[in-house]
Amino acid sequence: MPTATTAIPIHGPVDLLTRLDSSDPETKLKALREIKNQIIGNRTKKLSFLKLGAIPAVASILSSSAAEADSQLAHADVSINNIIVQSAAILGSFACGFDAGVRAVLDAGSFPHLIRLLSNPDEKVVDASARSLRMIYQSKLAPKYEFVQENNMEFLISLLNSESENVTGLGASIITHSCETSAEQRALCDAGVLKKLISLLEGSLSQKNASLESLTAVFKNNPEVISKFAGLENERAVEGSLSQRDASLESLATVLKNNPEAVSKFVGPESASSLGSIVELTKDRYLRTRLLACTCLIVIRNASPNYLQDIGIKNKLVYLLLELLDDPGQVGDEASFVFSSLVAEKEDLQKLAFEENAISKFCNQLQKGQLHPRRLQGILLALADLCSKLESCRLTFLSLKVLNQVIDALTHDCADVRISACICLRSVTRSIKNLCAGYFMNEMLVIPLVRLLDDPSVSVQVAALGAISNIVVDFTTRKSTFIQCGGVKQLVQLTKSMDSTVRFNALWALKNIIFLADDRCKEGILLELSGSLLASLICDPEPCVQEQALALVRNLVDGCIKSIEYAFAEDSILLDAVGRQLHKVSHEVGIQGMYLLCNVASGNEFHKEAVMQQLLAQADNGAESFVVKFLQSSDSRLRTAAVWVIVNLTSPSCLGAFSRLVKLKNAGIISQIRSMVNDPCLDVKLRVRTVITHLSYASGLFANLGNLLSDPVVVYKNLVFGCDDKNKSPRLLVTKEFVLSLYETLEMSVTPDLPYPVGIVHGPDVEIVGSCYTCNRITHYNDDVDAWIPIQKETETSVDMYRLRMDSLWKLDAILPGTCFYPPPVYHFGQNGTYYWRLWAFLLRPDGGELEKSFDICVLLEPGVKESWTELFSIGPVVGSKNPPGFWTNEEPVSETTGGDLLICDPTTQETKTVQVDVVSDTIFILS
Amino acid sequence: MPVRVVETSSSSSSSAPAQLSGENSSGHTSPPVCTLLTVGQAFSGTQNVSSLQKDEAWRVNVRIQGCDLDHGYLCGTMEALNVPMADTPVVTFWEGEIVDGKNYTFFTGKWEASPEDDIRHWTKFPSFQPFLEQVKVDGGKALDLISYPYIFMRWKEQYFVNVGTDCGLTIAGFYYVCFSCTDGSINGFYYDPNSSPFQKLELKSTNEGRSGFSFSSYELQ
Repeated sequence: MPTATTAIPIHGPVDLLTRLDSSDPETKLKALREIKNQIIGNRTKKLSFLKLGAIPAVASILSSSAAEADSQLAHADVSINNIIVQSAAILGSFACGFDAGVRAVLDAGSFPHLIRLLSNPDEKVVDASARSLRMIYQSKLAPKYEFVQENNMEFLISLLNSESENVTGLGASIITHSCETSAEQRALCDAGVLKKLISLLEGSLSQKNASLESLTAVFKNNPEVISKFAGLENERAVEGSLSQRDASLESLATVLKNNPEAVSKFVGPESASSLGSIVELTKDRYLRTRLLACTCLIVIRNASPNYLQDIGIKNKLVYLLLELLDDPGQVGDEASFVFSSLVAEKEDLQKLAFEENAISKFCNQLQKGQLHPRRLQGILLALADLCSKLESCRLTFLSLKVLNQVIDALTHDCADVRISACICLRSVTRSIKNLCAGYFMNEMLVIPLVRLLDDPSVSVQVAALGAISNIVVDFTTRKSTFIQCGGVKQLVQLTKSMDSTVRFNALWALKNIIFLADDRCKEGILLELSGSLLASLICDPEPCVQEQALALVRNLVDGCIKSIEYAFAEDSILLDAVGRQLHKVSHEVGIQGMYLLCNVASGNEFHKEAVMQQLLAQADNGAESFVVKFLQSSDSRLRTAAVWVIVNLTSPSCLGAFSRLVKLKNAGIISQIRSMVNDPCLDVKLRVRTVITHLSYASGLFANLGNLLSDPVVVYKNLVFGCDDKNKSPRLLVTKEFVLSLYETLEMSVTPDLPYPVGIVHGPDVEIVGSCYTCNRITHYNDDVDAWIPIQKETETSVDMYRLRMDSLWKLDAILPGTCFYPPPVYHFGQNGTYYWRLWAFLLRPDGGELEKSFDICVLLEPGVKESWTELFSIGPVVGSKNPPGFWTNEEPVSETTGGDLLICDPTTQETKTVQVDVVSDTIFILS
Repeated sequence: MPVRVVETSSSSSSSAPAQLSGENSSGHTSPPVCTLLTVGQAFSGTQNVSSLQKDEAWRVNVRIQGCDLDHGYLCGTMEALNVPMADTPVVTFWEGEIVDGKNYTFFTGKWEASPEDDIRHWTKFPSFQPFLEQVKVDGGKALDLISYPYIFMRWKEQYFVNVGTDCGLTIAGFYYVCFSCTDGSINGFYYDPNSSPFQKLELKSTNEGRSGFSFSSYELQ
């Protein structure tokens, strides 16, 4: 026969929920109590009650009971109040540390009822409601409290003024949760909140901690608020109750966070006591209060770098936080995060922490294994920050053999841990020395990282891409490790992501892989990427993606000259995309684009002409070329990149240099470059001068090319007629730049003339201005267009240097493979104004190693008659000689040596002599 | 570039490796940024290793692999081509200290180099002349080198990349280096109390068969 059990019945959730519906207040109250007791601190129970719809049921009891209590006014039934207290407590429990609970409580509409109950005459009701609201405000899901709306500030102050610990704690929690902008920080400060929060530092532990949290929020990045805080007379003792102090510390930190103005007011001259009270709390016997005080101080320090800078406090914070790390509980877990906020981006503090053995302390923790995910995450982030700047930290980290633990964390269940493991690896792999040694490129590290590229969390993918970007910078031949484990395929997939951050980071990694990669690697990557995808990424809506795509192509076309062809694949799809994009880009994107064009322009004639086309595409329509805009940029890096393109396009060793110069001049680019000869950036200035040297080559004169191009007649006259006066002493102007900034004029003696050529037909409008070993270019000056117009090679008028010197050239070429001839024509105008004749300097420029050169001096006796070329004599071989910049008016060929001295050859004796002038290379110009 | 081990030389590890300075970078101004001295750039030339017995020069290639101007740091590899006792070119990894007055001065303060050794080597570079007097005083701490078209450095080889340490070569010494921002040429003098003095390193910027300059880059995250 069955008998009744004598044990106290424990009701199941369903049963309890049924009882909530009871009309008997006593049954209802009991059910509420039982639910409260079952769910307190029990996440599983919370979840099962939540699923059964307990929250709307309790919320409805709360609202109906609250309405009933309202109707009874001051004489509310005790049992109703008890029901309210229990319901509020249940809702608070559901909201405590359980986001799903918070969401359900908010959805059930309890929030306004709880707020209203704060004005209930029954203290217990107020207390329970305040506690519940506090729980809600500790979640991110809580609605934002608008401080500046109507009576909200007054209401907040009334909360902070309350006698009840839970109510003041609620006020502090509201601040911690909702104070975000500097305007809000200021408003709170002006409303006297700081004073209240400081007074809470005397309160209970909970109030103190809540206050510290709010202060942290109010101070963040706001020195103004901090300075006001500092100005407060704060003579209160700090022995208030623990809870009050903690609440106060938290709020303080909120008020000061990221607010340098607030910080400065807080720690102003009279404020030693305010700041002192927080410093004092770092010695509190309660660990959590210590941690909160540290947080608050760090917020002040980070917002206003003027305060708390002395080495003592820095040391103290480092020491305290490392000590708190030993706490096995939540304080120990959080200590690493606070430590990170102390050292992040601050090299001095990283160094200090390094000296305090922080690295080994964190590494020891890591070696303990089986860490709580939150602690593991914090430790990895702290190590990441410590190793972010200093190589010494990275080397110590690597020496402590914890890399395996970090690699294990890459596969941790918790996404936050995986992310922080990636961030830690990203910092450690900044060690160039270890990268160069190929230390990180191994399967143990690369395979789990590549797997994370498939992670369901985008944040994990991005973090993994960060570490991969560094690891693939590999100077050994191990890039294949990454390719073989499918890394490149994955990266290419990610460049198609909808998320621009993922595209950006995937391209970054690919760019780093392609850096100095061999052809096979480049081909493989391009095959995977395809020109069309890459072109679409160059035109991506996000500038940061464009920048990385351009940087990738820049690296792709660097290296062996064959690589330039990649830019021309698929009908030049890449190059065209670059040209289109550069008309409308930011500085950063422009820099990469210009270096890309620079690299293409370092190729052959075809490559250079293709770049010209891109540069001048718009200029042809009358618009200003983007190059001019870039050259005028305020960003010196962009100016430098732009000038490099022009340096390559005008390199005088190339056939088409002169015609390109004319086009660049017509597009206004040359005049822009000329105006930059004294650019404030040294790098720009030096490249501009290189272009100007090229201009001189191209015009056939080592004179001021700007003058030549802008007014060739003037130069012509000076050159031809300036030499008429035999009584005038020939002059040489030597520019001594940088070292002494002096100009010196050297006087030269006149030597006997060379025999003048005969039968020359004088043609002042025809000049030979350029040449290479295969042909000469003849130009004439055209007044109508104010330019030197190249006449293309024609059989009758061309002077073929190659054939003329064929024997010698062949011979020399065979002796020195790779030799290139560098024959800038050097003009010489006879001293008799009616004649003029030209001397050709024939310069052999050896390729590396071999430093001896010879010059052949020839004279063209009859323009257009190639047979009339006559070799006068050879100079050399001489050591260290550079291109001959010209001739004295006394016919002595002059050359500049690599040491910056002048080499002068006497044509009558054919002897050479060196004149010590000690100038910077390529700066010697000869004037008439 | 490694040189032959001389009988009297003890080992290649007689000096501490270069460490990055951990100086606070606040108020620090970076040295001039020269595009010819950036990662990926290559140089080639010779090092004169002549001794009393024999005139000899080895061909050398250098590539810049890392650069951190805020810390005055540069690194790369150096490849010595016709080393008599090696079958293949010998590659070493070196780290450089850029003399910027902040991270590093003209005084080496290590690697067995006294201030007198330093000055004796630096004065071999004509472009050093304007600084001589000041350097004698304080190593050049107060000098403004930012707008100067030469960059002075010390390069210290750290390890052999492709040969063992038993290859009969030493990297015990270091180089005093002067880089010209104008044309990217590099002059240097190898200093090792146990090797022939003033072995001259002469390098020029190379462009790998191109008619112009080409620049690639990587960035660490």
